[in-house]
Amino acid sequence: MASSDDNAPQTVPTTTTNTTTVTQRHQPLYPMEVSQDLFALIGGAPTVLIHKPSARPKPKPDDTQAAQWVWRGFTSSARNDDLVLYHWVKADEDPSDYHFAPFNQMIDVGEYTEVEYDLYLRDDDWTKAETAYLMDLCRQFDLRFVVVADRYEFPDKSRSMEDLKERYYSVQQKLLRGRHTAGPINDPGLQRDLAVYDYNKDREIERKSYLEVLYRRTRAQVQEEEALYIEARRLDQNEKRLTHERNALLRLLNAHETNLLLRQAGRKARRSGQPSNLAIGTGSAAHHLRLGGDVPAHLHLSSPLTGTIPPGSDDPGAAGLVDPAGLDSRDRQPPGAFIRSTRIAPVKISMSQKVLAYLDELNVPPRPVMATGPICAEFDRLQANILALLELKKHADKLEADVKQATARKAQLLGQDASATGH
Amino acid sequence: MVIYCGDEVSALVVDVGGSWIRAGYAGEDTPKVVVPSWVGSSEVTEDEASATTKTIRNSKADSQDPDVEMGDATASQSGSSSKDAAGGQGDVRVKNEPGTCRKYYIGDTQASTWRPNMDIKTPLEDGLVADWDIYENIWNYCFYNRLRVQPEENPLFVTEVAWNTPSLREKMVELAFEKFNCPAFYVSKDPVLTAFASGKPTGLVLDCGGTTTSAVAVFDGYVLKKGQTYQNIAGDFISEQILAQLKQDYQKEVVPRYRVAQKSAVGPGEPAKAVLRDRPNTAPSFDHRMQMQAIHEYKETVCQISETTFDLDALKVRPQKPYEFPDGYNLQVGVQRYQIPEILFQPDKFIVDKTREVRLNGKAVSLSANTGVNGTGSGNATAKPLGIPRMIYDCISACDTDVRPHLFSNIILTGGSTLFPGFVDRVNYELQGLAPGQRIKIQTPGNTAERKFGTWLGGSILSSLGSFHQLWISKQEYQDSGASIVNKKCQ
Repeated sequence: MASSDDNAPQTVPTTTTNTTTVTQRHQPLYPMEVSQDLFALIGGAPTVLIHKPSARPKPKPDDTQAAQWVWRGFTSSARNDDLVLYHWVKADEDPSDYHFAPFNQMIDVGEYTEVEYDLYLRDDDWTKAETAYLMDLCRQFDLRFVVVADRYEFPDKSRSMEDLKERYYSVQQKLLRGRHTAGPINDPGLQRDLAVYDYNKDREIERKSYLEVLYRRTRAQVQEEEALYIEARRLDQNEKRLTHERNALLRLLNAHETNLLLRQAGRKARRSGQPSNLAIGTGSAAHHLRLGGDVPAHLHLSSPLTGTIPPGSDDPGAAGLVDPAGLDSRDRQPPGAFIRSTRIAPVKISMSQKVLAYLDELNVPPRPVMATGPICAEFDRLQANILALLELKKHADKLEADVKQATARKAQLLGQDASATGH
Repeated sequence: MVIYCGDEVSALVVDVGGSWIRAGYAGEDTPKVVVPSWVGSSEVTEDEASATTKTIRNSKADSQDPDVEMGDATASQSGSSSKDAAGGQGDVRVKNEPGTCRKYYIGDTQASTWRPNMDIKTPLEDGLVADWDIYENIWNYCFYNRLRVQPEENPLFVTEVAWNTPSLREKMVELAFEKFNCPAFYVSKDPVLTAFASGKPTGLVLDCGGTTTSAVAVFDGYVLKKGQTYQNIAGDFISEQILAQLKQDYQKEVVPRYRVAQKSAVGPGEPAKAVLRDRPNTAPSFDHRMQMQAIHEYKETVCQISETTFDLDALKVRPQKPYEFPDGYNLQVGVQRYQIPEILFQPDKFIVDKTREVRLNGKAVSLSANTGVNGTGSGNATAKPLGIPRMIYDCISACDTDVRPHLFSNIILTGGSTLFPGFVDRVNYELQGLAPGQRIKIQTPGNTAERKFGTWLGGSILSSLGSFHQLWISKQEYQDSGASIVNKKCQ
């Protein structure tokens, strides 16, 4: 751009530019010793704004005629008289009725004749004139009873809003009943219509008196109420927490009770000479658990071990398998992804060596190689069985030792007897 | 137009308030005419009256007063132009005694111009029209001098206070149809219109203006008469008290601007060194009005309301504000600038000049039962002047229990005196103490114009509605049923 300026004709019409720009134009735009690129880097010649007039299409003349507006008088069917006011309207607008006339909606509060009044509406407290006055006000204020009660000024009478409402609704109901000549009085249509005008004055007065009490509260009362509310909320929350804890405790107790029951059952079974402890686990223990009620169903499915606790043993590990919340630790899903093999129930360190030895004997690796769901389940079962077996074996060993000791003692006693008798 | 539910029938809306008159066309957002309600009037002889305004101009020409001349220039202009209008003139003469009649000066430039023996009066007393002569002239002035319309061509919409009496309304409708030949007429209550202007059909309107403070409940576009309270503790009352307080604390008589020819700078609190004009035969009412104008400015500049409970020690440490009066006297205003407007909230404690009459609902109340200075003590001895929050609370409490929550959540503040800084905060604060369990929401128009012209604006909205057409009292209806129709049709 700078170069193009350089080549531009040096003569500038003086009419459009002032003298200073003319002298500037005569000087070279950048010093010769500085290269053009460097000059461009340090700022260079100011860029020239080229204004290209855009060709905008001329607006086409609108052929349509401008709408004609006229100052026209109008009347409205909403009025009883023919008041003529003037406004601007389009000349072609239909001048038949005023646009806003349909908005003149009135609530129909009903009319009654003199005869009807005498027949149905007589009331000791209300005169005919006062009733008419009330109906008039209702009509005028479109049944806004707040306003009706406010403007109600009948000589020598002071009426509350409830009085007025009661009278109005009873008038409507009496008229409906009185005019209902065709059909039985318990006609559902009539009953429906009557229900619209149901009004219970006493209840309304009571409601308002409650509201009044609420309104007249002092600041201290309101604050007290708020404090109480907060306290109540706190108690409520506390109670929730307590129930939760209690439930957890109950579950725990339940589990413990189950163990006890199992033990008892085991003892019973032993006494009755039933051979299998396992049968108790799946049978009567499950039955007792069901009686427990809120113990989750999975408990007796996932812990066959509990059923196989050797009766009489005070091994805390057996109870330790059931966690305090009543849930088997294996049944709790940890958040996120996990490796299934980590979900295999861990073996107590004291037992692990024996279990591993047993697994080795069976040619089963210490952890499943391909830890699929069924395999893990199977492995779990196997482990549990091994544990049970070991437990039984230990028990059996103990019993055997007992028996041995007993027989030894018996033999000793018999020996003593024999020697005693032998002597 | 139809989509906005509006229909221009070129109605005129006139709102004659306690201190300002607003008039204009329905459908516009601000009134075309805003002039003070204080109208000057003087007794002139028939000869003077028959001579045109030219005579007045000549008589004034020799006084070397620039602002008087300016006032006269406009006066003569409007006066002469209005001469041709049908029967109505800007300065109307009314026959009084044989040989004399009253001449009225309406408008800011007219009424504020000093004239010998010119009285200043307002047509209203407690919001009710007391001087029909002035009232008629005000309409005249609005129609012929300012709006330049023929009232016989335009429906007329006027406003009234909520406690207006039926007989006064009848008189108003007579005036509109008999004197001004309006084709249609409607009169509506201020609070309803204010509520309309803020877009609320239901609400409690607290109007704290120049002459009256009122609290009125509006339900669905109807004023609830029970419980409405009004009191004359408002802007002008505050100004009077400031006047009394300045006299009491600084021995300062406020010199109004019209009397000051030249002022020179003096230090704070020093006596003024001003050259005063000689104004013989000044009517006391005029002088007082001009004093009030000076105070009005003082009030708008320095006065403020404590946002919470009035605490003297806390307010003492707030910054002082300097103020200079028209005669050059100037002072630093400290806690006084909080003390006087506090009258609006605690009238019994803060009124300085206890000889001023306080009227609650049109009846005088005693300020201090033991002294009985006010001397009226007529039957209303137990009544006490009410603070604004109390007025609001009492008014709401008098309404039906079911309506109260709606009123509490729609408290509309309007009127010039609500523009004191801190006013809205204070009302909110006090109401929370009075009605602790309620959800209180105060609606205040943000801009000053809306708060000053709220009533007029509501009238402008209402009378430009298309569905308003059926509400107008037509001339025919008036002729058929008489003036009492206004009490039936305008609720």
